Amino acid sequence: MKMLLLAAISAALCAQAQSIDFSSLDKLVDKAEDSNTISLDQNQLRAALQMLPADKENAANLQHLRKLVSGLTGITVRSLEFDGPGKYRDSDLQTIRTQISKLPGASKIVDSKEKDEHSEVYMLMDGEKPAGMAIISA
Amino acid sequence: MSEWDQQLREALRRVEPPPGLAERILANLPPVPQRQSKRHPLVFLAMAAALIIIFLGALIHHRRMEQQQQQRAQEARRELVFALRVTAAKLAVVQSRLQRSALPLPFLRKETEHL
Repeated sequence: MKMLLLAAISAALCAQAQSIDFSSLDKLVDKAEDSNTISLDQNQLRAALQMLPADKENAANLQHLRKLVSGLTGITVRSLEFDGPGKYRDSDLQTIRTQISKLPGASKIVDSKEKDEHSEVYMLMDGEKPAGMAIISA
Repeated sequence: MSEWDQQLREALRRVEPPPGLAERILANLPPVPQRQSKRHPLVFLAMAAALIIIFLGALIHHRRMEQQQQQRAQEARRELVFALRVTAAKLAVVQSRLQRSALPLPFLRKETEHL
């Protein structure tokens, strides 16, 4: 069973999204089998893009990836993997859900529950333009 | 013109120096000592060595900084790839769930098939 929280934010809402407080998940780190925290700002994303290999076979994919990532101003991933069910409660994610839903222009576009898995996708809008996305998969 | 003015003019009148005065003064001047460097030649050598060491140090520091920047960029690349993989995997799960959940609604599928 895996719990994941991800926020991939671009442009205007980056500052607010990167200020999301993930500390409610800190207590779960000891119980997790695998824990990953990634936080890349715009400069780090640019540096990462420069390090992407110039692969001729996948040139089109790489170009698409570069275009996609160059439009982002930040990526934040908080991922915790557990060896079995019952190691966390849905309420552990509630504070993060609340923070995301309070971001300006945020709206939940997908809420899917199946057996023990619950996936949510939030779209962050800056006026009429999409400004980012947040995914919670638990 | 007053007598006082006359005396002053008399006292200040130009008097020519005796002939050969300048030559005699110059001849009596003490010889100017030639300027000699008090620094030992090794000092210049040491300064040159210090400059070379500073230059090499700066070069090595610059190389290290470049390497560190490259390492950070590599780390950022790994993190970016991981983040994108995880995102893509989770979005694929959500997408497949949405597709499956659409199955019991064949009429809706027909309606949206052309989209």
